[in-house]
Amino acid sequence: MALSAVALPITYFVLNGKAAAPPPNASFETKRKYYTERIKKDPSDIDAYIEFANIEDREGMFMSARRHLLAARALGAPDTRISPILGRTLSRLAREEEARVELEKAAKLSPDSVDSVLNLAGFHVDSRRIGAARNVLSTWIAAHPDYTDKTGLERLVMALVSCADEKAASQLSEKLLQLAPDDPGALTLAARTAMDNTDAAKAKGYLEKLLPIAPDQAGANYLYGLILYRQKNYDGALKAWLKANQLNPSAPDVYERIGQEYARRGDFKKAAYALDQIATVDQGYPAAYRAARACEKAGFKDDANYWDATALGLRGAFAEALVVAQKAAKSTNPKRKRRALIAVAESYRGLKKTKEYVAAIEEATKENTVDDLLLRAYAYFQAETKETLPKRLVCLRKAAEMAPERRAAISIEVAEQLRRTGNRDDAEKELEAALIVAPEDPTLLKTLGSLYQDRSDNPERIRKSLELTERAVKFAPQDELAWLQLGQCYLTNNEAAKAVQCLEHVIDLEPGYGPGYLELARVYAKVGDKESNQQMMQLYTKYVSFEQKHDTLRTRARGPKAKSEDIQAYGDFLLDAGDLGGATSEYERIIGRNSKDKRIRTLLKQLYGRLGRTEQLLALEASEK
Amino acid sequence: MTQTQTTITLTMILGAAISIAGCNKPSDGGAASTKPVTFTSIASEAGIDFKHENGSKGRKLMPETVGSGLAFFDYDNDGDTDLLVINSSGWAWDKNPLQAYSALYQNDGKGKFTNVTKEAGLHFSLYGMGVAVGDYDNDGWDDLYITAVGDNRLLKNTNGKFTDVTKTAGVKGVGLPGLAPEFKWSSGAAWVDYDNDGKLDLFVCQYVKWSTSLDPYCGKNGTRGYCPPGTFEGARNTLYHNEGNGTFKDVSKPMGILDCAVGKSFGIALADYNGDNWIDIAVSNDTWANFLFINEGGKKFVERGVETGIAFAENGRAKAGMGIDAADYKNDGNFSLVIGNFAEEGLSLFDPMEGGAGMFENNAQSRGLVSASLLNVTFATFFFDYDLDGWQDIYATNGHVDDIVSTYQSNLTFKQAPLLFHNEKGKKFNDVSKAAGMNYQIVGRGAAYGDIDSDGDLDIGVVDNNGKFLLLRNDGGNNNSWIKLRLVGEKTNRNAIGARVKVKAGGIEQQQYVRSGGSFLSESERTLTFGLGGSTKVDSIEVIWPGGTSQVLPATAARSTYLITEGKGLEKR
Repeated sequence: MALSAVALPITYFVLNGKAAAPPPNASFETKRKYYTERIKKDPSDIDAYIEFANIEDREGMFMSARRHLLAARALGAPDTRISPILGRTLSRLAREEEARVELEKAAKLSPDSVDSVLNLAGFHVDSRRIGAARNVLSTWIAAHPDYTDKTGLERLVMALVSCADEKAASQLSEKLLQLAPDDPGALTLAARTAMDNTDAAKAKGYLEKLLPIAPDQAGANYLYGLILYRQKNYDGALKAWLKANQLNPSAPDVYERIGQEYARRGDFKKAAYALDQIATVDQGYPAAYRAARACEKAGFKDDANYWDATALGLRGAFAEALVVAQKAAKSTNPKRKRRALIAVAESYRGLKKTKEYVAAIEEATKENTVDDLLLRAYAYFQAETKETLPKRLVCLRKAAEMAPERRAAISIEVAEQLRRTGNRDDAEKELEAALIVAPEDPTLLKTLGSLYQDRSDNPERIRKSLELTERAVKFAPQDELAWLQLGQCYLTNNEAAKAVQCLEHVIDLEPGYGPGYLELARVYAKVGDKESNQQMMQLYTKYVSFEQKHDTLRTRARGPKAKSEDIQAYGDFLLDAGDLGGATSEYERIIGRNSKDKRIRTLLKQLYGRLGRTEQLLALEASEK
Repeated sequence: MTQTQTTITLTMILGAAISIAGCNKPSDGGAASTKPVTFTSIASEAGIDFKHENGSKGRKLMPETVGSGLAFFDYDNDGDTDLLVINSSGWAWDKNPLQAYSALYQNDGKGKFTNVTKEAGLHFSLYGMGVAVGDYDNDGWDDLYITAVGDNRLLKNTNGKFTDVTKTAGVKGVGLPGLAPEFKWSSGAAWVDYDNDGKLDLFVCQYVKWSTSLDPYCGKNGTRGYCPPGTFEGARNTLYHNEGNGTFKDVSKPMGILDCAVGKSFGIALADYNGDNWIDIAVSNDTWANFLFINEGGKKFVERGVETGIAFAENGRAKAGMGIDAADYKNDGNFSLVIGNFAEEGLSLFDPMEGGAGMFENNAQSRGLVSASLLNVTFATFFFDYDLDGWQDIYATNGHVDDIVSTYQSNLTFKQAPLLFHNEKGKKFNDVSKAAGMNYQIVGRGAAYGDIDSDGDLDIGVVDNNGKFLLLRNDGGNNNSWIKLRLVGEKTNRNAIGARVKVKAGGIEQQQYVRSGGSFLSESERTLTFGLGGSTKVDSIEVIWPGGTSQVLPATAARSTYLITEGKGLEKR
């Protein structure tokens, strides 16, 4: 009986001439070989197409996955098997309309599938259709009151959080908790969603249950601290945040909270330390301003001046920033003096006083450490004069000598300067020498490969370019630009089939990268695939139209005679494109001209909320009172 | 005289006769001459004293970097090539603005010129950019369309005298919304009979939406410089239909010219790029996608720059795109495009892709054009056969736009030497600039070719922005054989613009279009020059007139100029 159970599948495969599929942990290459062979033997093998497509989709080979799914469909595979994977694949390829059709079809055909509803909801969220996402999720949840799969419920809670349906997320997380009352993941989710629902008491209860079970969750400690703070349990809050900071020293929010708490207590020295840390990382105006105030109160005059200068510089008040930075530069502490001199230099740069900028950087970097040399090199590059560019090369070369581990990155800069000055032979030599020291640096391989490719008027350079770029993608398989370059190399070398594979993978990795479509269209044209050429060209044309519109609106908004309508049009465009930070900057410009614009104020408040810029949100709300 | 002396004398005479016969006359079917060809600067001795004035006074207004162009054409129908150089001027709003004038020079047939601007009615000041030459009213006299910052001008030529008919014709140019008319900035223009109705229509490029108030401070290291094109919005192009009664109608919208995004257009290259016998329009755009307007049966244009691959470089980035020209430089029946670009970009050379679904690919690197041109800012560029070996070579005139460039980019200079590339039988181009004597450093802008001394080879005229005009005489090009063909339309437009001429000689078949435009803001002479290398005759000539009628002409001797009238035969001039 047992034997026959084993024999049956073997017999099936033998009778059908199909070898057994590779195990799940086999390499992608092994699986690719297996399925390619299988399809070659039997081009009507629907299962092969679908199984292969599923694997390709998981491996990020979306173009190829799409092709195989469409082939399976053409062979008669039902939509129940095709639509779920195809929808996912198409959404990863940023082919929105097609993805939507497939995902909606999948959800309709498999109404009980949590994967289908999550894929559809996720698609709506990515397309910024939050309402549609909420609708889809809430309808499904209501239709499946007895759904109790733990992993599925977690995914549903996360999906509800991502579309800002706090109430539903909180309700569902409580259901999850009923199924797994001591599960740390469930407790964390419950606490978060309760906080989102401003039910601090509930959240506190969950965290107090969670922390003894999982004390080393930085996020949970941080959240607990927030709750205690709101309950005016300041000692408890500080303790929790210090624990969070200990567990995750690179989280800027925690520093901010710690700093503010110390400031509240009047322990300005500790506050100054914390806020100094965050301002160094944050590099935004509010952080710099807070750090300045804390340092001032702590009596750290030099630091206060430095942060004041930074804050002024960030606001564009370079003349004032310069005065304050010069005060800070009088510090007798070498570290403080150095960073103050850099602030002086940045002020000069803002004032477009290049000579003084360079002089200040030279003063700041007298120690000639590697960082000093690189900073000086950068300043010389910014100045970009006949005198400074050779000095830049000297600094870079010295830095490379002192820090061989940074040789690759430095050589790339040197080579770029040599290339720009027409010394392409020297640029090649520089990179070739660096490659000896760092033979596996993908950026170095890519850069030298690109230089050979640019000068590919002889077969030897073409060969070298190909070899280096193949190595580059081996070490950086997620770098779409390396794949693009490799595709171009294969095309130059008349290996069109390989070029197609590489360029399709560019789209897999970055479906929003227009030049990938252009190069793929060229290759399809070369191999005579007119239909694919036209498809790619249609997609590329869309990308070009978008970029051209962006360019035109930006030029209009940045012009010396830009009207508020022009700035708003640009802001709206950026918002639609998902560039929330960019849109915010444009709307802020309008508020600077007309602070009473209701629509813009509303938009700004929403954006501040989504970007987590609490201080700015509060300031805007306060200005309305 | 003794018998010996007679023999010696006879031998000497015969020897001299043989050597004279053999001097400039290669044997029939013999190899092309490879003697070096040089270009000699002769403006002064030729009587050309032109200086371009760009009106610069330190405010760094963008149009000051661009002008201007020139045209070689026969304004007085005396059979030789005259010269018109366009001038810009001081700005009208300046106090006591400098008045500068374009200049028309009459050729005496041997390369000596006389300034006849006033007599010809062309003595007026404007901020001139470029010029297009075309007999729009088919009266046998070439008229002029001059582009400018401000209103453009249409000058009707009657017996060698020009009259400004811009207003009645309705072609002063189309303004942009929100922009005062004096700031309208037109650039390249070309005459083209797009609907094959026998009358020349007009295509006019605009560059950017510019005005003094839109031109901000741009600078480096505290010194003001000229702003790059990215600082400004693009502008629309215009297609005017010739109504036949001295007026023109703006048909840009119905003809699809406005369906694409606005560009930053400079140059125009006319040819049939998709093999359907309708003339298409390639337009070079500065830091913007190049356009390729495909003519759909004279009823509409569809812009396909992106789909055909000429819009962008390989990395999807738009290059500068100033001068542009088209030619069948491989003598394989396909027209390629050469485009001048900015420093660190190199020239572009778009060849039709083999089997490539109507796409082009940039082969500048593999054809040897990039290395030499990498540090240059190329404005005018054109194909021409300077050594008359039957293969179209490339000339490029260069000069940066920023007079302070060398203070921040040590590898670049404001004044730059031109480039001359020799075509190695369609496989590669060799930089022969130095050998050809092209060692002068200028701020090169418009350039064109014409046979100013009627010796068969092609000479070059170049505008130096804010400098003296250069006239470069070709010395040695006519060591090889040649034939010149001037076409006159009867049913088609009189200039025969749009006619394609195929010449077979020495085992190769060359083809050229009779056209307007090409290069940068300039026009070369309309008579077609075919280099024949070592051949002493042409095996056959075929003319495909606009509209598709073909006219085949018999074998004919080289080293002569012929007139081909539509429907009639060949007539030696």
